[in-house]
Amino acid sequence: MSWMMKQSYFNLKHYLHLPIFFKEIDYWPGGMHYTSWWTTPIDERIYRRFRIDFRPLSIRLPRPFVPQKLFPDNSFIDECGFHRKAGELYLEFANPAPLEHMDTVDEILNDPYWPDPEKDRSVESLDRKAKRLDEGGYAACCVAPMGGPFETSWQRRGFNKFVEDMYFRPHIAKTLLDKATKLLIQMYGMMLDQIGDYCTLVGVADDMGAQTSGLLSPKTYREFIKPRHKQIYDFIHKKTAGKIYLHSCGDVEMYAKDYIEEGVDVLNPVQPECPDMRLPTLKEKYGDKLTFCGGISSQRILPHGTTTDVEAEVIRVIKEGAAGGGLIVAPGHIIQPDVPPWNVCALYDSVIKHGQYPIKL
Amino acid sequence: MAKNILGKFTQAIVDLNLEQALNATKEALEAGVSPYDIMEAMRGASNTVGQKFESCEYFISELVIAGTIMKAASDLLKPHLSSGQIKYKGKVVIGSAPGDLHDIGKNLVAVSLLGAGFEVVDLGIDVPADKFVKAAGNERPNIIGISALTSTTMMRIGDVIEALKSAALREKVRVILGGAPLTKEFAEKVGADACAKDVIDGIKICEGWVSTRTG
Repeated sequence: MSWMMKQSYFNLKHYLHLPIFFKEIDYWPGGMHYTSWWTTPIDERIYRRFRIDFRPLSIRLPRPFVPQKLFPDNSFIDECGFHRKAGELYLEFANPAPLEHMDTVDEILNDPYWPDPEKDRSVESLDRKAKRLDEGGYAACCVAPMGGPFETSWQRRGFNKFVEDMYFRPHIAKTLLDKATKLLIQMYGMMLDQIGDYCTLVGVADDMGAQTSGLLSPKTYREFIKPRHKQIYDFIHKKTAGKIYLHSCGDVEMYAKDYIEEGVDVLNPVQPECPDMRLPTLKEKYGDKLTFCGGISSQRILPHGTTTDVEAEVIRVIKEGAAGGGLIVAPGHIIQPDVPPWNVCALYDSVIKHGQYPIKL
Repeated sequence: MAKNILGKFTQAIVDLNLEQALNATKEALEAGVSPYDIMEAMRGASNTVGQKFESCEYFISELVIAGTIMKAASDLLKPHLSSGQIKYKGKVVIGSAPGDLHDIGKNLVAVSLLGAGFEVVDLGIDVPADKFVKAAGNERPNIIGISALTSTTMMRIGDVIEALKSAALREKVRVILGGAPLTKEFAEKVGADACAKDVIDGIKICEGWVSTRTG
């Protein structure tokens, strides 16, 4: 199951005649974050209806979410130290970024809004849940506790400013990346010490692509980001036999070889709208090293197509990616607010209908 | 002499060297090179950067850096330029669609348009239809650029175009759209003139329009 935006999730529940629980409702529109339980509380009956056997587990906030700082325009500093503002449908990054106007390493490191995982995160009872899932035959998936070092750095510093740092102030860029890497390793350590033995997948997330191009040149990526990714993934590998599942949006084919060298096993979301993310090519080039999760058009077919279009899209993805295994059919991103529930049903029903091995398409 | 300095300036931008680009700007001004010629050289550099993006030699990060350098050089030139004498290729009013709070792509387009020689009026994020209409009336742009990152907010672009029609301004401007979920078909459906697949494509489309207008 992919993440779902609240609106599409509630529409789906209504469509399936399922009640909405109070614990599923919170104030912020968003991809199911900012709840004290952190991971998506998707109704078990929906998982079963769609025969999904992945179950998310992650670090939580120990207390109900309270902004670290609230500004007069209702924007706020969130639990990761990002400046956010609730729009009509999404929780967006707001300007200025919290560290945008800082000039020195000391100022950046002493910023009070960096999360302190020991104090601000909890893994209480995670082991019991993981054990229960494992014994029930489910695939326990450790969800990324925060974006990767690149995302975290630019979300704290501002996108343009952080890109400029990498070119003009590399010591600042490295300070930010190292701080984010340290925090991530600390949080993965807390989680995997509890659930490492039960994990099928361990999620990591660092968006490196725009729609038609990579965000960073391969040279910049290899100099600044790759060593930190490797450091985090090596740490995870030491803690668990689970596979590394990387969420990296956009046109990221140019980094695929680097991802493999870093130790990534599964690549998500394989957006079909991106010119270099065609499944047949990806399978041919990297199919022996990477499993692909995603492939279904989230920008075009799911929100705007008919149920017949959705079924055709599922058939296309299965035909292109299922041979020899290594495919998890899923939306090419979070299911957006405007995706009608019948298309969500068409997606998973079509996977059940056409996705059983041996594939007969 | 002037040609040498301008060559150095152009090369520094293309090589993404901020310090050299700013030094060359100062050197050119001290040597008496017309600031308008420096701006013209910057447009050439911007074009080369665009070509490198298209040939996958440069990526988004390089467009950001080139934009930063061109903006810094423009700031040095500003005191030497008398308004009214700058020959812009055209004027673009740009903003994110109503409800859309994303601005990384939109900002990159704005600064790249500036580098390419357009006058840019940036309305920011979550721009209501009436704000686009007001700017279309007051600023008299050649082009209006609307950006949307999500399949939900892109549906509000139609409202902007309808509002322009109601104010009898639609025929006076070209409308270009940009953002991940947008397609040419969608642009046609809502009555826009074009949809850019990326930053550089967008600039080319805008340049095509203004050259048709002046030529």
